[in-house]
Amino acid sequence: MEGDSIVLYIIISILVSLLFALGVIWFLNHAQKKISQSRFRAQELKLNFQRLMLENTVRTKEQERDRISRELHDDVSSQLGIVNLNMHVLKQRMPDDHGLESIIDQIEMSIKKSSERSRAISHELMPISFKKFGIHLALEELVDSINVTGTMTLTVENDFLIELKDEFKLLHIYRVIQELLNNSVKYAKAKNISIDFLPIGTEIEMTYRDDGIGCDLSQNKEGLGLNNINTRATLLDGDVEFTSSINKGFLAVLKFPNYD
Amino acid sequence: MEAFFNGIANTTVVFSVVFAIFSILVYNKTNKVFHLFLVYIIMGGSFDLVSTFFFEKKMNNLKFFHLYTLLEFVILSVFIRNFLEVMKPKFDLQKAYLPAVVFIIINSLFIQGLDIYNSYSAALSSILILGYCIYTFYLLLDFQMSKIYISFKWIVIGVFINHIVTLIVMLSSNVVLNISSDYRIIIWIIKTIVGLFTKLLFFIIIVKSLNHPKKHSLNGR
Repeated sequence: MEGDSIVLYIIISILVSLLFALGVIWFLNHAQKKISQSRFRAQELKLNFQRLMLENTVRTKEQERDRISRELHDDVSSQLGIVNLNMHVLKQRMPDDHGLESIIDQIEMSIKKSSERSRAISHELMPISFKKFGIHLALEELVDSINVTGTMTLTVENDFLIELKDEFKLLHIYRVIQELLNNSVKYAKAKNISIDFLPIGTEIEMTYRDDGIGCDLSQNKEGLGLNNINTRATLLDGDVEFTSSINKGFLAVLKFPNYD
Repeated sequence: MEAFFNGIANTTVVFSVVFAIFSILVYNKTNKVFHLFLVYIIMGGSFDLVSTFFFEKKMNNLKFFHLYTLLEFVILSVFIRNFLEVMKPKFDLQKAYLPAVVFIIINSLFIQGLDIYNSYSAALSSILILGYCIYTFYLLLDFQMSKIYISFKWIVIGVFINHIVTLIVMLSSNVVLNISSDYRIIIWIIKTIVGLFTKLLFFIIIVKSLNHPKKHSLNGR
Protein backbone atom coordinates (compact mmCIF):
# COMPACT_ATOMS: atom_id res chain seq x y z
CA MET A 1 0.00 0.00 0.00
CA GLU A 2 2.84 2.32 0.94
CA GLY A 3 4.59 1.49 -2.32
CA ASP A 4 1.35 2.24 -4.15
CA SER A 5 1.10 5.77 -2.81
CA ILE A 6 4.81 6.48 -3.38
CA VAL A 7 4.55 5.38 -6.98
CA LEU A 8 1.37 7.42 -7.34
CA TYR A 9 3.11 10.52 -5.97
CA ILE A 10 6.07 10.03 -8.24
CA ILE A 11 3.84 9.45 -11.27
CA ILE A 12 1.84 12.56 -10.39
CA SER A 13 5.10 14.50 -10.01
CA ILE A 14 6.28 13.27 -13.40
CA LEU A 15 2.95 14.15 -15.01
CA VAL A 16 2.95 17.59 -13.37
CA SER A 17 6.52 18.20 -14.54
CA LEU A 18 5.58 17.04 -18.04
CA LEU A 19 2.59 19.37 -17.99
CA PHE A 20 4.90 22.15 -16.84
CA ALA A 21 7.30 21.33 -19.69
CA LEU A 22 4.44 21.38 -22.19
CA GLY A 23 3.23 24.66 -20.70
CA VAL A 24 6.69 26.17 -21.11
CA ILE A 25 6.84 24.97 -24.72
CA TRP A 26 3.37 26.33 -25.44
CA PHE A 27 4.28 29.66 -23.84
CA LEU A 28 7.54 29.81 -25.79
CA ASN A 29 5.86 29.20 -29.14
CA HIS A 30 2.95 31.50 -28.35
CA ALA A 31 5.17 34.32 -27.09
CA GLN A 32 7.52 33.93 -30.05
CA LYS A 33 4.58 34.18 -32.43
CA LYS A 34 3.27 37.28 -30.63
CA ILE A 35 6.69 38.93 -30.60
CA SER A 36 7.33 38.21 -34.26
CA GLN A 37 3.84 39.49 -35.12
CA SER A 38 4.41 42.74 -33.23
CA ARG A 39 7.87 43.05 -34.82
CA PHE A 40 6.28 42.53 -38.22
CA ARG A 41 3.62 45.15 -37.46
CA ALA A 42 6.29 47.63 -36.32
CA GLN A 43 8.26 46.97 -39.48
CA GLU A 44 5.14 47.41 -41.58
CA LEU A 45 4.36 50.71 -39.84
CA LYS A 46 7.92 51.89 -40.41
CA LEU A 47 7.73 50.95 -44.09
CA ASN A 48 4.36 52.66 -44.46
CA PHE A 49 5.74 55.76 -42.79
CA GLN A 50 8.79 55.74 -45.07
CA ARG A 51 6.53 55.31 -48.07
CA LEU A 52 4.31 58.15 -46.93
CA MET A 53 7.35 60.38 -46.46
CA LEU A 54 8.60 59.44 -49.91
CA GLU A 55 5.21 60.05 -51.45
CA ASN A 56 4.92 63.44 -49.77
CA THR A 57 8.43 64.41 -50.88
CA VAL A 58 7.72 63.46 -54.48
CA ARG A 59 4.28 65.08 -54.34
CA THR A 60 5.75 68.32 -52.99
CA LYS A 61 8.42 68.21 -55.67
CA GLU A 62 5.80 67.75 -58.37
CA GLN A 63 3.64 70.53 -56.95
CA GLU A 64 6.65 72.82 -56.90
CA ARG A 65 7.48 71.88 -60.48
CA ASP A 66 3.89 72.61 -61.43
CA ARG A 67 4.02 75.97 -59.70
CA ILE A 68 7.31 76.97 -61.35
CA SER A 69 6.01 75.73 -64.70
CA ARG A 70 2.87 77.87 -64.38
CA GLU A 71 4.90 80.89 -63.25
CA LEU A 72 7.18 80.51 -66.23
CA HIS A 73 4.35 79.99 -68.65
CA ASP A 74 1.81 82.49 -67.33
CA ASP A 75 4.04 85.15 -65.88
CA VAL A 76 7.55 85.14 -67.31
CA SER A 77 6.46 84.26 -70.84
CA SER A 78 3.69 86.87 -70.79
CA GLN A 79 6.07 89.52 -69.47
CA LEU A 80 8.55 88.66 -72.20
CA GLY A 81 5.73 88.89 -74.75
CA ILE A 82 4.84 92.39 -73.50
CA VAL A 83 8.51 93.49 -73.59
CA ASN A 84 8.76 92.16 -77.13
CA LEU A 85 5.64 94.09 -78.16
CA ASN A 86 6.96 97.27 -76.60
CA MET A 87 10.28 96.82 -78.37
CA HIS A 88 8.38 96.48 -81.63
CA VAL A 89 6.48 99.74 -80.94
CA LEU A 90 9.72 101.41 -79.91
CA LYS A 91 11.37 100.30 -83.14
CA GLN A 92 8.55 101.81 -85.20
CA ARG A 93 8.68 105.13 -83.38
CA MET A 94 12.46 105.45 -83.50
CA PRO A 95 14.01 107.87 -85.98
CA ASP A 96 15.95 106.26 -88.76
CA ASP A 97 19.02 105.12 -86.92
CA HIS A 98 20.44 101.88 -88.34
CA GLY A 99 22.78 101.33 -85.39
CA LEU A 100 19.95 101.58 -82.87
CA GLU A 101 17.68 99.46 -85.04
CA SER A 102 20.14 96.59 -85.15
CA ILE A 103 20.47 96.74 -81.35
CA ILE A 104 16.68 96.58 -81.01
CA ASP A 105 16.63 93.64 -83.45
CA GLN A 106 19.15 91.84 -81.29
CA ILE A 107 17.10 92.55 -78.15
CA GLU A 108 13.98 91.28 -79.91
CA MET A 109 15.83 88.14 -80.93
CA SER A 110 17.04 87.57 -77.34
CA ILE A 111 13.53 88.11 -75.98
CA LYS A 112 12.15 85.63 -78.49
CA LYS A 113 14.78 83.05 -77.55
CA SER A 114 14.19 83.62 -73.83
CA SER A 115 10.45 83.27 -74.34
CA GLU A 116 10.90 80.00 -76.25
CA ARG A 117 13.32 78.69 -73.64
CA SER A 118 11.01 79.57 -70.75
CA ARG A 119 8.13 77.82 -72.54
CA ALA A 120 10.34 74.76 -73.12
CA ILE A 121 11.43 74.66 -69.46
CA SER A 122 7.82 75.14 -68.40
CA HIS A 123 6.83 72.25 -70.65
CA GLU A 124 9.61 70.01 -69.31
CA LEU A 125 8.62 70.77 -65.75
CA MET A 126 4.95 70.05 -66.31
CA PRO A 127 3.64 69.40 -69.80
CA ILE A 128 0.49 71.38 -70.44
CA SER A 129 -0.95 68.53 -72.48
CA PHE A 130 -0.60 66.23 -69.47
CA LYS A 131 -2.39 68.66 -67.19
CA LYS A 132 -5.11 69.43 -69.71
CA PHE A 133 -5.64 66.20 -71.65
CA GLY A 134 -4.04 63.41 -69.62
CA ILE A 135 -1.25 60.91 -70.08
CA HIS A 136 -2.32 59.45 -73.43
CA LEU A 137 -2.16 62.71 -75.33
CA ALA A 138 0.94 63.77 -73.40
CA LEU A 139 2.65 60.62 -74.63
CA GLU A 140 1.56 61.32 -78.20
CA GLU A 141 3.02 64.79 -77.88
CA LEU A 142 6.22 63.28 -76.51
CA VAL A 143 6.42 60.96 -79.54
CA ASP A 144 5.98 63.89 -81.89
CA SER A 145 8.59 65.99 -80.12
CA ILE A 146 11.16 63.18 -80.38
CA ASN A 147 10.34 62.09 -83.94
CA VAL A 148 10.34 65.65 -85.30
CA THR A 149 14.10 65.85 -84.61
CA GLY A 150 14.70 63.10 -87.20
CA THR A 151 17.64 61.70 -85.22
CA MET A 152 15.66 58.90 -83.61
CA THR A 153 12.35 57.11 -83.87
CA LEU A 154 10.06 56.65 -80.92
CA THR A 155 7.05 54.36 -81.12
CA VAL A 156 4.51 53.97 -78.35
CA GLU A 157 2.00 51.10 -78.33
CA ASN A 158 -0.60 52.56 -76.04
CA ASP A 159 -4.19 51.59 -76.69
CA PHE A 160 -5.63 53.75 -73.93
CA LEU A 161 -5.14 50.85 -71.53
CA ILE A 162 -4.23 52.80 -68.44
CA GLU A 163 -7.26 53.13 -66.19
CA LEU A 164 -5.60 54.88 -63.26
CA LYS A 165 -7.41 58.00 -62.11
CA ASP A 166 -4.91 59.36 -59.58
CA GLU A 167 -3.14 62.19 -61.36
CA PHE A 168 0.05 61.66 -59.36
CA LYS A 169 0.25 58.00 -60.30
CA LEU A 170 -0.19 58.91 -63.95
CA LEU A 171 2.48 61.55 -63.54
CA HIS A 172 4.84 58.89 -62.12
CA ILE A 173 4.40 56.83 -65.29
CA TYR A 174 5.04 59.88 -67.41
CA ARG A 175 8.14 60.84 -65.39
CA VAL A 176 9.53 57.31 -65.65
CA ILE A 177 9.20 57.52 -69.43
CA GLN A 178 10.73 61.00 -69.42
CA GLU A 179 13.69 59.79 -67.35
CA LEU A 180 14.24 56.76 -69.61
CA LEU A 181 13.97 58.89 -72.76
CA ASN A 182 16.43 61.36 -71.29
CA ASN A 183 18.93 58.51 -70.81
CA SER A 184 18.40 57.20 -74.33
CA VAL A 185 18.85 60.66 -75.83
CA LYS A 186 21.71 61.88 -73.65
CA TYR A 187 23.86 58.79 -73.10
CA ALA A 188 22.72 55.84 -75.16
CA LYS A 189 22.80 57.43 -78.65
CA ALA A 190 19.82 55.26 -79.50
CA LYS A 191 18.26 55.31 -82.97
CA ASN A 192 15.07 53.44 -82.15
CA ILE A 193 13.04 53.49 -78.98
CA SER A 194 9.85 51.58 -78.34
CA ILE A 195 7.42 51.73 -75.46
CA ASP A 196 4.74 49.03 -75.20
CA PHE A 197 1.92 48.86 -72.71
CA LEU A 198 0.55 45.38 -72.18
CA PRO A 199 -2.30 44.41 -69.83
CA ILE A 200 -1.53 41.36 -67.66
CA GLY A 201 -4.46 40.56 -65.42
CA THR A 202 -5.07 43.60 -63.28
CA GLU A 203 -1.61 44.95 -64.01
CA ILE A 204 -0.02 46.88 -66.81
CA GLU A 205 3.42 45.90 -68.02
CA MET A 206 5.27 48.73 -69.69
CA THR A 207 8.29 47.66 -71.70
CA TYR A 208 10.79 50.33 -72.69
CA ARG A 209 13.46 49.29 -75.15
CA ASP A 210 16.23 51.21 -76.96
CA ASP A 211 18.96 50.08 -79.34
CA GLY A 212 21.63 52.35 -77.90
CA ILE A 213 25.13 51.63 -76.65
CA GLY A 214 23.80 50.16 -73.39
CA CYS A 215 25.63 50.34 -70.11
CA ASP A 216 27.00 48.37 -67.21
CA LEU A 217 24.14 48.65 -64.73
CA SER A 218 26.27 47.70 -61.75
CA GLN A 219 28.34 50.86 -62.24
CA ASN A 220 25.93 53.42 -63.64
CA LYS A 221 22.91 53.16 -61.41
CA GLU A 222 23.25 56.54 -59.71
CA GLY A 223 24.05 58.56 -62.82
CA LEU A 224 21.19 57.18 -64.87
CA GLY A 225 18.50 58.24 -62.42
CA LEU A 226 17.43 54.62 -62.03
CA ASN A 227 16.92 55.23 -58.33
CA ASN A 228 14.32 57.87 -59.20
CA ILE A 229 12.59 55.39 -61.45
CA ASN A 230 12.65 52.79 -58.69
CA THR A 231 11.10 55.32 -56.30
CA ARG A 232 8.34 56.14 -58.76
CA ALA A 233 7.72 52.42 -59.35
CA THR A 234 7.34 51.95 -55.59
CA LEU A 235 4.88 54.83 -55.42
CA LEU A 236 2.93 53.15 -58.21
CA ASP A 237 2.77 49.99 -56.02
CA GLY A 238 4.71 48.30 -58.75
CA ASP A 239 8.23 47.26 -59.56
CA VAL A 240 10.73 47.86 -62.28
CA GLU A 241 13.54 45.76 -63.72
CA PHE A 242 16.41 46.97 -65.86
CA THR A 243 18.47 44.92 -68.28
CA SER A 244 21.43 46.26 -70.18
CA SER A 245 25.01 45.56 -71.09
CA ILE A 246 27.59 47.35 -73.23
CA ASN A 247 26.45 47.61 -76.89
CA LYS A 248 23.32 45.58 -76.18
CA GLY A 249 20.77 48.39 -75.76
CA PHE A 250 18.64 49.05 -72.73
CA LEU A 251 15.48 47.37 -71.49
CA ALA A 252 13.23 48.46 -68.64
CA VAL A 253 10.09 46.62 -67.61
CA LEU A 254 7.74 48.48 -65.29
CA LYS A 255 4.79 46.63 -63.80
CA PHE A 256 2.06 48.41 -61.87
CA PRO A 257 -1.54 47.76 -60.86
CA ASN A 258 -4.04 49.26 -63.26
CA TYR A 259 -6.41 50.51 -60.55
CA ASP A 260 -6.35 53.14 -57.80
CA MET B 1 4.68 -5.61 -16.19
CA GLU B 2 8.33 -6.64 -16.37
CA ALA B 3 7.84 -8.06 -19.86
CA PHE B 4 6.28 -4.79 -20.97
CA PHE B 5 9.18 -2.86 -19.46
CA ASN B 6 11.71 -5.15 -21.17
CA GLY B 7 9.88 -4.64 -24.46
CA ILE B 8 9.98 -0.85 -24.15
CA ALA B 9 13.58 -0.88 -22.89
CA ASN B 10 14.73 -3.12 -25.75
CA THR B 11 12.86 -0.96 -28.29
CA THR B 12 14.58 2.14 -26.87
CA VAL B 13 18.02 0.51 -27.03
CA VAL B 14 17.45 -0.72 -30.60
CA PHE B 15 16.20 2.68 -31.69
CA SER B 16 19.06 4.39 -29.87
CA VAL B 17 21.63 2.20 -31.66
CA VAL B 18 19.94 2.60 -35.06
CA PHE B 19 19.80 6.36 -34.51
CA ALA B 20 23.50 6.37 -33.57
CA ILE B 21 24.40 4.47 -36.78
CA PHE B 22 22.19 6.84 -38.77
CA SER B 23 23.97 9.79 -37.14
CA ILE B 24 27.38 8.38 -38.18
CA LEU B 25 26.12 7.96 -41.75
CA VAL B 26 24.71 11.49 -42.03
CA TYR B 27 27.46 13.17 -40.00
CA ASN B 28 29.12 14.78 -43.03
CA LYS B 29 25.80 15.64 -44.65
CA THR B 30 24.66 17.61 -41.63
CA ASN B 31 25.45 21.22 -40.90
CA LYS B 32 28.58 21.58 -38.77
CA VAL B 33 26.67 23.27 -35.97
CA PHE B 34 24.82 20.01 -35.26
CA HIS B 35 27.93 17.82 -35.22
CA LEU B 36 28.28 18.03 -31.44
CA PHE B 37 24.68 16.95 -31.02
CA LEU B 38 25.28 14.01 -33.36
CA VAL B 39 28.25 13.06 -31.17
CA TYR B 40 25.82 13.09 -28.23
CA ILE B 41 23.42 10.78 -30.09
CA ILE B 42 26.26 8.46 -31.16
CA MET B 43 27.55 8.40 -27.59
CA GLY B 44 24.03 7.65 -26.26
CA GLY B 45 23.62 4.75 -28.68
CA SER B 46 27.07 3.34 -27.82
CA PHE B 47 26.42 3.57 -24.06
CA ASP B 48 23.00 1.95 -24.42
CA LEU B 49 24.53 -0.92 -26.39
CA VAL B 50 27.45 -1.47 -24.02
CA SER B 51 25.26 -1.14 -20.89
CA THR B 52 22.76 -3.66 -22.26
CA PHE B 53 25.61 -6.04 -23.08
CA PHE B 54 26.99 -5.74 -19.51
CA PHE B 55 23.47 -6.12 -18.08
CA GLU B 56 22.88 -9.29 -20.11
CA LYS B 57 26.23 -10.68 -18.88
CA LYS B 58 25.15 -9.77 -15.31
CA MET B 59 28.15 -7.43 -14.99
CA ASN B 60 28.15 -4.07 -13.20
CA ASN B 61 27.50 -1.32 -15.74
CA LEU B 62 27.26 1.60 -13.31
CA LYS B 63 30.70 2.93 -14.27
CA PHE B 64 29.26 3.66 -17.70
CA PHE B 65 26.48 5.73 -16.15
CA HIS B 66 29.09 7.82 -14.33
CA LEU B 67 30.98 8.44 -17.54
CA TYR B 68 27.76 9.00 -19.49
CA THR B 69 26.49 11.62 -17.00
CA LEU B 70 29.76 13.54 -17.27
CA LEU B 71 29.99 13.38 -21.06
CA GLU B 72 26.29 14.12 -21.59
CA PHE B 73 26.51 17.18 -19.37
CA VAL B 74 29.65 18.51 -21.05
CA ILE B 75 28.41 17.88 -24.61
CA LEU B 76 24.96 19.40 -24.04
CA SER B 77 26.41 22.39 -22.20
CA VAL B 78 28.92 23.14 -24.96
CA PHE B 79 26.31 22.51 -27.67
CA ILE B 80 23.80 24.93 -26.10
CA ARG B 81 26.53 27.46 -25.32
CA ASN B 82 27.69 27.49 -28.96
CA PHE B 83 24.20 28.43 -30.09
CA LEU B 84 23.60 30.97 -27.34
CA GLU B 85 26.90 32.78 -27.99
CA VAL B 86 25.41 34.36 -31.11
CA MET B 87 22.64 35.92 -29.00
CA LYS B 88 25.27 37.53 -26.77
CA PRO B 89 23.85 36.25 -23.46
CA LYS B 90 24.49 38.22 -20.29
CA PHE B 91 25.28 35.03 -18.45
CA ASP B 92 28.07 32.77 -19.69
CA LEU B 93 27.11 29.10 -19.25
CA GLN B 94 30.79 28.23 -18.85
CA LYS B 95 30.66 29.77 -15.37
CA ALA B 96 28.10 27.14 -14.34
CA TYR B 97 29.34 24.05 -16.12
CA LEU B 98 33.01 24.09 -15.16
CA PRO B 99 32.35 23.79 -11.37
CA ALA B 100 29.63 21.23 -12.12
CA VAL B 101 32.06 19.08 -14.09
CA VAL B 102 34.46 19.19 -11.14
CA PHE B 103 31.63 18.14 -8.80
CA ILE B 104 30.53 15.26 -11.09
CA ILE B 105 34.10 13.91 -11.15
CA ILE B 106 34.56 14.29 -7.37
CA ASN B 107 31.16 12.66 -6.73
CA SER B 108 32.02 9.68 -8.94
CA LEU B 109 35.46 9.20 -7.42
CA PHE B 110 34.99 10.10 -3.75
CA ILE B 111 31.40 10.86 -2.65
CA GLN B 112 29.06 8.21 -4.11
CA GLY B 113 31.80 6.18 -5.75
CA LEU B 114 31.83 4.32 -9.05
CA ASP B 115 29.86 1.31 -7.83
CA ILE B 116 26.80 3.26 -6.67
CA TYR B 117 24.25 4.92 -8.95
CA ASN B 118 25.39 8.57 -9.32
CA SER B 119 22.07 10.15 -8.41
CA TYR B 120 23.68 13.36 -7.04
CA SER B 121 25.61 14.08 -10.24
CA ALA B 122 22.69 13.09 -12.45
CA ALA B 123 20.32 15.33 -10.48
CA LEU B 124 22.75 18.27 -10.56
CA SER B 125 23.40 17.70 -14.26
CA SER B 126 19.64 17.68 -14.95
CA ILE B 127 19.04 20.81 -12.86
CA LEU B 128 21.76 22.71 -14.72
CA ILE B 129 20.66 21.45 -18.12
CA LEU B 130 17.08 22.47 -17.31
CA GLY B 131 18.42 25.87 -16.33
CA TYR B 132 20.24 26.15 -19.66
CA CYS B 133 17.04 25.13 -21.45
CA ILE B 134 14.93 27.77 -19.68
CA TYR B 135 17.62 30.39 -20.31
CA THR B 136 17.67 29.34 -23.97
CA PHE B 137 13.88 29.69 -24.19
CA TYR B 138 14.15 33.13 -22.65
CA LEU B 139 16.80 34.22 -25.17
CA LEU B 140 14.91 32.68 -28.08
CA LEU B 141 11.77 34.68 -27.27
CA ASP B 142 13.03 37.79 -28.99
CA PHE B 143 15.28 36.22 -31.56
CA GLN B 144 14.61 36.11 -35.28
CA MET B 145 15.14 32.46 -35.98
CA SER B 146 16.59 30.81 -39.04
CA LYS B 147 15.86 27.16 -39.90
CA ILE B 148 18.96 26.15 -37.92
CA TYR B 149 17.67 27.90 -34.81
CA ILE B 150 14.21 26.38 -35.20
CA SER B 151 15.87 22.92 -35.17
CA PHE B 152 17.96 24.00 -32.19
CA LYS B 153 14.82 25.14 -30.36
CA TRP B 154 13.19 21.72 -30.84
CA ILE B 155 16.35 19.94 -29.71
CA VAL B 156 16.34 22.03 -26.53
CA ILE B 157 12.62 21.25 -26.07
CA GLY B 158 13.46 17.51 -26.32
CA VAL B 159 16.33 17.87 -23.84
CA PHE B 160 14.04 19.85 -21.53
CA ILE B 161 11.29 17.20 -21.51
CA ASN B 162 13.81 14.38 -21.04
CA HIS B 163 15.66 16.05 -18.19
CA ILE B 164 12.60 17.28 -16.32
CA VAL B 165 11.48 13.65 -16.01
CA THR B 166 15.04 12.49 -15.24
CA LEU B 167 15.23 15.07 -12.47
CA ILE B 168 12.01 13.86 -10.80
CA VAL B 169 13.27 10.27 -10.97
CA MET B 170 16.69 11.24 -9.61
CA LEU B 171 15.23 13.32 -6.77
CA SER B 172 13.01 10.43 -5.75
CA SER B 173 15.65 7.76 -6.33
CA ASN B 174 16.25 7.13 -2.62
CA VAL B 175 12.51 6.48 -2.12
CA VAL B 176 12.24 4.46 -5.32
CA LEU B 177 15.07 2.18 -4.20
CA ASN B 178 13.13 1.26 -1.05
CA ILE B 179 9.93 0.18 -2.77
CA SER B 180 9.38 -3.19 -4.39
CA SER B 181 10.68 -3.74 -7.91
CA ASP B 182 7.10 -4.19 -9.19
CA TYR B 183 6.33 -0.60 -8.32
CA ARG B 184 9.77 0.66 -9.29
CA ILE B 185 9.31 -0.67 -12.77
CA ILE B 186 6.36 1.67 -13.40
CA ILE B 187 8.64 4.66 -12.83
CA TRP B 188 11.25 3.26 -15.19
CA ILE B 189 8.60 2.55 -17.84
CA ILE B 190 7.49 6.20 -17.78
CA LYS B 191 11.08 7.41 -17.91
CA THR B 192 11.91 5.05 -20.78
CA ILE B 193 8.82 6.08 -22.75
CA VAL B 194 9.72 9.76 -22.34
CA GLY B 195 13.31 8.93 -23.35
CA LEU B 196 12.07 7.11 -26.46
CA PHE B 197 9.75 9.98 -27.33
CA THR B 198 12.56 12.56 -27.10
CA LYS B 199 14.86 10.32 -29.18
CA LEU B 200 12.14 10.18 -31.84
CA LEU B 201 11.87 13.96 -31.70
CA PHE B 202 15.67 14.28 -32.14
CA PHE B 203 15.53 11.84 -35.06
CA ILE B 204 12.88 13.94 -36.84
CA ILE B 205 14.91 17.12 -36.19
CA ILE B 206 18.12 15.58 -37.60
CA VAL B 207 16.29 14.23 -40.67
CA LYS B 208 14.74 17.66 -41.27
CA SER B 209 18.07 19.42 -40.69
CA LEU B 210 19.57 17.46 -43.60
CA ASN B 211 17.80 19.94 -45.88
CA HIS B 212 19.51 22.91 -44.24
CA PRO B 213 22.31 24.59 -46.15
CA LYS B 214 25.47 22.84 -44.98
CA LYS B 215 27.68 25.91 -44.90
CA HIS B 216 25.37 28.11 -42.83
CA SER B 217 27.20 29.20 -39.73
CA LEU B 218 25.53 30.37 -36.54
CA ASN B 219 26.78 33.90 -37.08
CA GLY B 220 25.69 33.93 -40.70
CA ARG B 221 22.35 32.45 -39.65
